[in-house]
Amino acid sequence: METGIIALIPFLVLLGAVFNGTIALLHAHDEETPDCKVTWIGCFAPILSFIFSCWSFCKVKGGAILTCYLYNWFTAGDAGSAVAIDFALRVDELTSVMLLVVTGVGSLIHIYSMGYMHGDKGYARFYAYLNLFMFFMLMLVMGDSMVVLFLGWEGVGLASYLLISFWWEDGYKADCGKKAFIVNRIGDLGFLLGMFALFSVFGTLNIHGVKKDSPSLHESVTAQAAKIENRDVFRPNADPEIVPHGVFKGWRYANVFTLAALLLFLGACGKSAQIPLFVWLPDAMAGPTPVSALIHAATMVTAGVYMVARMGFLYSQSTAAMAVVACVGALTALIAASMGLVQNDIKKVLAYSTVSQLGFMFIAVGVGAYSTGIFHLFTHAFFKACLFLGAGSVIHGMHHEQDIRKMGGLKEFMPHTYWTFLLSSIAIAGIFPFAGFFSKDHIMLMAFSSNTLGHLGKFLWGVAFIAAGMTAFYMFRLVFLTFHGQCRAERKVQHHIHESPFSMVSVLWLLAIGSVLVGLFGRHHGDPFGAYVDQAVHGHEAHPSGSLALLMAVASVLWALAWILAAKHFYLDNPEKPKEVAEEYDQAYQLLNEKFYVDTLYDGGIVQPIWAAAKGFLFKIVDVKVIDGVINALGVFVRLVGEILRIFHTGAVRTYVAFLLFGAIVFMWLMVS
Amino acid sequence: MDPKAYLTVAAILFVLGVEGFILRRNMIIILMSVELMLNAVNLTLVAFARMNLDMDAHVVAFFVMALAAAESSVGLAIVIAVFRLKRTANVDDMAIMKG
Repeated sequence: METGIIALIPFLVLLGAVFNGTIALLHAHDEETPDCKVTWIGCFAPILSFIFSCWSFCKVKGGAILTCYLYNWFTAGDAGSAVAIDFALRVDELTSVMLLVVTGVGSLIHIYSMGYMHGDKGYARFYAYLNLFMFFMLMLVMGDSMVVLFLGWEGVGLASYLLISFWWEDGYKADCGKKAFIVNRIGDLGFLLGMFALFSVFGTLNIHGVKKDSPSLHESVTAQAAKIENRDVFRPNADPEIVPHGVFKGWRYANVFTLAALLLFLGACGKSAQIPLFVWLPDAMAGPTPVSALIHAATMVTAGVYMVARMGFLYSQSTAAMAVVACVGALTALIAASMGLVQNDIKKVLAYSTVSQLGFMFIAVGVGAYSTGIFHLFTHAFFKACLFLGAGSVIHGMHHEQDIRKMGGLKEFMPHTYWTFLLSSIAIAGIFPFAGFFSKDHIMLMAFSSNTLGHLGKFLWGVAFIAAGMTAFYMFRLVFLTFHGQCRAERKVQHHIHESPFSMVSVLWLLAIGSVLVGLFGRHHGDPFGAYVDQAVHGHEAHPSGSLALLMAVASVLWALAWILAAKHFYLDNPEKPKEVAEEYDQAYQLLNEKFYVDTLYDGGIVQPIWAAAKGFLFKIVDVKVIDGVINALGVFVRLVGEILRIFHTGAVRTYVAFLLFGAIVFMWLMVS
Repeated sequence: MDPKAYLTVAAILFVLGVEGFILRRNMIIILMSVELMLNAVNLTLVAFARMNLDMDAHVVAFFVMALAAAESSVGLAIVIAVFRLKRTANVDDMAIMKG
């Protein structure tokens, strides 16, 4: 159904960004900024978008698919084989869910920022960037063409950079922003190459096609895949279909699918912080906490998961790619969880937790259970945003102290923050009947009983199971160290600890209630969510038996409870125990603390050589000697020519007369001959 | 009369004018040589006009005369100005624009 209303969803937010940006620029050097105006514009735009998203959700639930063809962005190629890249938006079931998450949780975080960023000099700039981010994220989820998706993809990377290094006067924070953007770019290379591969083979970049008869990847891929008789990529001549022309001429289509899927997944690794490109997310915590909540928990980092689900028709054709996605997800989930066990900064623990939960989502989409992955995305948005905003509340109340070793006993000082944080922690640990249980348990069930991956699925279940246990442990470590026990802050800081204002606390409660209740949409209650999203993505879901499901559910809950009790033992009952264990296993502790030396590896192996090459070679030789040399040589050349011409300027009239005559004779001779 | 004689005289006058222009030291003599050249040209024009019975050359001769008058007045003004500066009419001493 063609409707222009869905175009309002992103463009209203863009308008908000433009307004706030103008205000920020105009008042850049003033003492007084019109914070009230900024807040009204900055908060209303996403709220309006949320209202329209609800409207489109109702429409899509009724069976329609909303499209909006804006204009023909560009047409490339000659007349015969021209390719039209259209700027078109398309809302189907998957997109409508993402819209609700982005605009809903986004609006709440905009409201929260009212209190958190109060008094900051860059208040208007903050809201401008935040709105800009939402615009790009909405473009990402609503785009029908891969090009529009990529526009959003890049744009959220940009917004992330702008927001992480929001307080750029501090050099460290600016560097964190740069790191995020650069690592993202590496992933984007993979994404671009995947797009190019798909384009080269199928000649279009529309995912579903908005206009009648416009070519689309969905059609082309499914049509081509239907012709493949045998999916075994190791047996030659089994796939009768070969790509006829282009760069991939002679390739079998099955291999093209695998390659494109893997390349696109590389992009997802960069955006969604999977191994090996996860290193930017912990450092991204240098940005303001609402940013961490919105971008690095609820929305931007989930773009990779969305992309895999959206291109599910491609991934379903390639078992190899699915296996890679699921394995990388599982590995990331485990390793990130292990790193979260030893972090001392409240936000870094949550950052590693996000990486780990994203790993879970990738396990889900890797085994073909796309709607399950998106369901975990949905629940995760609630409880992770609540956790981050709660951490923000703690930081706000502790006057920008972030080290949990200096906290403790905050539950008396900040009861609202405590209760919402606790509820979200129970949710993320996966305790029945909170939301995290339904989504995480469903993922593990799907992995275990996956038909596509068979025994690998069972192995992945094991990895995920361990990671889930670690999740419960480190989350409750965080809760106990921050809110329980004796307050370890200094006396004078203790006097100033206060609960956060209503604008912040109300959002916390809304999100906490969400993280308790949204599990009701899950599998155990008829799975309305899964059924709804499946209409868009057609996952290969396994159908495990009810008894297996029950057994697994009980096992998960008991496992999580065991780890919570372990955390209680270590951090509540015997506060000295952790230090003893750390000293005893100090090598393992060092390994975890240094994040498996991944950052050191990247720094030594990639960053330092690039720096050395840049300074030693490109700067000292190419820039100073070659480029400057050429420019200087030009100047020297001009001077030399001048020196030569100077010889003729004798100043003596008679010489000039001689030249005049000589010229006249030559001229006359030429006229005659 | 044979017009060729006029042409010959004009040619000789012209060459003499060129010699004076190149080889003389005094500014005023150089200006006189320029006048000589112009007069030689006038003679040539009139001779050809007579040869071809064409009135256009006569008109051109008038133009040249008017032009010569204007040019010599300007030239003399410049010589006077330079003489006031340099106190010499020797063309070799006027290498002010050297380099």
